[in-house]
Amino acid sequence: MNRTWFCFGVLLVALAMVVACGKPPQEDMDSAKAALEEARTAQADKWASAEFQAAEGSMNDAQAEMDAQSQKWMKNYDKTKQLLAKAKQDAESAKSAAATNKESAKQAATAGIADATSALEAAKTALKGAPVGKDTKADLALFSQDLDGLATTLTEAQTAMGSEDYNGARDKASSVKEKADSIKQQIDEAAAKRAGAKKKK
Amino acid sequence: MIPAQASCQKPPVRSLTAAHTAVEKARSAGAARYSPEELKQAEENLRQVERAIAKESGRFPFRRDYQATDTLIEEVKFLAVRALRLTLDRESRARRDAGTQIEDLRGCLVRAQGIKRYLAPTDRSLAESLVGAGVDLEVAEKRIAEKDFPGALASAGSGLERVRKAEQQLLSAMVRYSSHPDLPSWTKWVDQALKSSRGHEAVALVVDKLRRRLTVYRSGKKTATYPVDLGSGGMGRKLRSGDDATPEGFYRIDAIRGPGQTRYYRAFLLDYPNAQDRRRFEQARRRGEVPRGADPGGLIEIHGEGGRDLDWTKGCVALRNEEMDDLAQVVKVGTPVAIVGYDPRSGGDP
Repeated sequence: MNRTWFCFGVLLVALAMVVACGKPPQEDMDSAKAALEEARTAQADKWASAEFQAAEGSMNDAQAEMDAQSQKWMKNYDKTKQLLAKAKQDAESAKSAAATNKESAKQAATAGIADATSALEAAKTALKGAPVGKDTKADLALFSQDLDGLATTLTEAQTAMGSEDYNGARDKASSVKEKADSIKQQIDEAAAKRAGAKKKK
Repeated sequence: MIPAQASCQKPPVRSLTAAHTAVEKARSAGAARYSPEELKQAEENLRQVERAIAKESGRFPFRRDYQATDTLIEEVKFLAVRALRLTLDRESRARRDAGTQIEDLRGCLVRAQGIKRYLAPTDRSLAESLVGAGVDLEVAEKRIAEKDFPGALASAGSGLERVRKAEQQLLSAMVRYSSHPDLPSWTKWVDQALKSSRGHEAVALVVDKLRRRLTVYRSGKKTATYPVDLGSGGMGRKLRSGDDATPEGFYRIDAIRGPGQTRYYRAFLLDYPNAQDRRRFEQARRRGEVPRGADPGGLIEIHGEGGRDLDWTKGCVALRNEEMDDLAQVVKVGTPVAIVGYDPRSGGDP
């Protein structure tokens, strides 16, 4: 009798273990999905697209594994749990990378705008000090117009910062800087040429 | 019946994985950017399938039926393939459109800058539009190099908008010239120069300020044209000294200076101001339109050191040195020179 009760007990424990192992890890799944959603909300698809795609891929792997286990009579969700943990971790990494990349883009754009502002100021100063003569007056007038146009474009770059279009702001600022540097170089060269010509006389 | 029942009880793992793969493929191809609605729908349906499978899996084995999920999975695959196809189509179109827009922008910008130089070299708002368009062009080129075709398209579109606005302004300015109040005078001066050239088997020069062009006529026939630089006063008509504008009128060459006699390589001095210029100046002075102590100015020449593609002189007409050499062969003291805002005889010429 005792032996019968013992066998019955072992069977119950084994059944309990099978049932316990066979339960889908819904909590882990929800947690991983929530992490992925958080990453999406943090615009990881824009600012850390490779990391976000990796997280989505991990999530799909975990989902596929869970689906595969769900059809088995003897279910084992250990691997599913591991994959879900990886998916959650990948999603958290994507979220963190998005924040980092967004901040770097913001800093790069801010630095770009500062550089462009300095380049514009330097070009304006060079323009003010440029020798005005019959040969240079028209050139200087055109440079002055171009510098005004560049200042307006730089304002647009600053506006783009407000709408978090950091890459747009950076590229505009970079173009403004390039053009302002080129104008300054032309002014400097013209001034040097004129100084050289005066010396010869 | 029994095998059919058995197949319905088995979750459609393989086709579900295929649906996952199809959605992933669409996403990797850039569906989130190029066909977000279709991708969203495919993803939503996929989640619905997963929920349905989970629900069926939780039922007693003999009561499970995955037939409905099979249909849903087929829908997901269809949507994912559609999202992928649309993505590839739209990306390819965006790439093509961005390339075309960039080319358009580049062409329009060069053309507008050229016209602006002729028509309104001192117009700051036009300059602002064109500088902005130039920046847009550079940003669009960067975007296309990064394969961000929608971004390239947006930047090129913004640039084109600015250039078209500038072109509209330039067009209005151009139309004004074809009905300019001075048009009868310009026509008369050109006719006078050509008549003089025909009558004496001689040479006459016509300077068209709008087109920045000097035309040489011999015996009434056009023999050469040269691009010119004008006074930094642009299209304005000279009235007084210091306005840096090129005069308009019928003149004659007063003196010819060769190399070493002028700082501008060669120079043909014109008889500006003539009687009409003085009369015009006096009228303006009486109306108080000129500053105190001003005079009509003088020393207006056709000279060398030009070819800068810029209006830089103080009212003279500048040509390249080699073109001055050509002109020096055909002109003499007394050669007539008509300087007009716009030569209506050149009608359709650019």
